[in-house]
Amino acid sequence: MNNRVLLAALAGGVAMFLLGWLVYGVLLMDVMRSINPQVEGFEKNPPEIWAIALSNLAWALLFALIFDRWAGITTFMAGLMAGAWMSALIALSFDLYMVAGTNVMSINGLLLDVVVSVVMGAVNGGVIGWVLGYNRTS
Amino acid sequence: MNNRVIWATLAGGVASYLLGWLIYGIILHDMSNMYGSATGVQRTDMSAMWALILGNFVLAYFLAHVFSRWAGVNTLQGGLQTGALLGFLIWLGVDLIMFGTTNIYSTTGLVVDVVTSAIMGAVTGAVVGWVLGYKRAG
Repeated sequence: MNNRVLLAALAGGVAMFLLGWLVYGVLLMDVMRSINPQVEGFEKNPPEIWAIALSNLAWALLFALIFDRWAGITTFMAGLMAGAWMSALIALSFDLYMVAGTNVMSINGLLLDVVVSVVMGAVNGGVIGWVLGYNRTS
Repeated sequence: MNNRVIWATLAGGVASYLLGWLIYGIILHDMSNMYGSATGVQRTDMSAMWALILGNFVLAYFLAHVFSRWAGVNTLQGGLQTGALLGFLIWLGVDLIMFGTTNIYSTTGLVVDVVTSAIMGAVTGAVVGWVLGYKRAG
């Protein structure tokens, strides 16, 4: 793992954290609550910010490793496409587990979460791809 | 998507489902210190089993897609290592988000689930890698 991968993961993680706060914490908070079944005591209040930040960094590192080590992605647009695709699959898989194993996610909640994850993954992937290609001589 | 990716997805999905049943359904079933303070979250009926099965196939497809399109993984050993890395990072991100925003997991549960997911990713990845390389001319 080189410095460029670490820098890309850091940039992607920050972008994802800010976008997640905007989308889940502000814009869609009430929608998410109304669309999914509510179970008393399920939501952590206040949330553990360090865990959310670390989560975003883990996913950004995942993307940066795949882009740099195997996919050869070094542009914003290529990162955007790959990030959207990977996020769709990961979010769909996880949300299906939540539908199967818990009482806190509806099918509509799953669909909305996958769409939001695609958008967030696209931005995350785009930022990571851009950083990986920044000032790189071909 | 070629036939080899489809077969690898099917085999990986079945392996992941069976391993999940063994680990979560039997081995860790009574490990009560994995859970946080939230109650009533876990679904007690089997009505959404289809979602669990589909979730496993989606994740297997993610591995097959990355292995086949980008990483060039087509051996059991390569799939084991790459699957462990991807499984670890994917579920580290997912579990940290769940730990940070909900009361589902305890800290012990977080650690156990990430380790378990890395093992499941390794086994699923090994199956996917093996099928991708099965009878492939060198």
